[in-house]
Amino acid sequence: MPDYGQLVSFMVSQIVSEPEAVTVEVEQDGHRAIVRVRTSPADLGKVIGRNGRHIEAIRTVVKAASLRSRDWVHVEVRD
Amino acid sequence: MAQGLDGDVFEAAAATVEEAFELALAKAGLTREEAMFEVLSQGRDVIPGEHVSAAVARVRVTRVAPEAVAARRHLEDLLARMEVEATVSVVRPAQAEPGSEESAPVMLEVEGSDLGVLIGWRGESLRALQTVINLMVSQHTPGAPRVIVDVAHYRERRERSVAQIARRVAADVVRTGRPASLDPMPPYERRAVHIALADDPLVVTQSVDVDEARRVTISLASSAPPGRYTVGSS
Repeated sequence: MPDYGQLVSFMVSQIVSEPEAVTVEVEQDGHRAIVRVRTSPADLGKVIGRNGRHIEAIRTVVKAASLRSRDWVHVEVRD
Repeated sequence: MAQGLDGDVFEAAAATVEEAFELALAKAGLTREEAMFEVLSQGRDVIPGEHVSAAVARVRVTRVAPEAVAARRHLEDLLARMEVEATVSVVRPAQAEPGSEESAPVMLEVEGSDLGVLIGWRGESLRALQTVINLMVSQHTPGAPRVIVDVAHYRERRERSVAQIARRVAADVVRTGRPASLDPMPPYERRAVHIALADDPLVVTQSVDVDEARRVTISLASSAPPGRYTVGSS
């Protein structure tokens, strides 16, 4: 099973201007996980994107990574 | 000679493809990391116990732009964290966008076995990967060329099949004189439709609607009056 916290943290840190402000919390329960990401307020728009396009892409990549181990992962983002 | 991403192209010949690559890399003073590979002609397979004559493998090695090397690393790092085993290489984009002013995109080809999860429903995961990689690249190198990601030649196959569909529908449009609308498609597939029919003087193509519903319509060219043309024996 991939480390979803690490996966999300990697993607988000690489696309923001203040990677040191990125924190990721994972709540895992068997095959279900909730990943909560926080960024600096200035970077929030970049992580979400116009019409949520960026966060949807991040979620889709996480979903692709979760298919083989049949996990269910939800990604939330806030500042 | 073909133009590389920044014009540094080296060719070499040897008995096998692998040896030719080694030679070309040495000639270019490049590491594998910094190079894009193309096979110009395969050498002959070495058959055990037989003398193989002068069959020559010829290859071309192109120095890839630093942004392409960076983009590949981003994708490799991402795939490793997704726990997907695959190799990523920088390849030459299949076709240049006609009339485009943009600098040539960087194309990354992902290969491996069982990569369906990276493609997803109608290429959904593939497009998400590409979006994320482009965000990473533009964050690190503002103004870097666009990155196109392909997985197991999915894009290439889709482009070929939508071009086929487009030509078939165009033939119907010419025969009936009635415009037709294709299914909604992502941008690169619509582009493949426009390109496939660009040389057809009888029809014109146009993208209509927005977002998920954006699709190509094919109609008779104004210089082609309906009913004047027949296709096949009908």
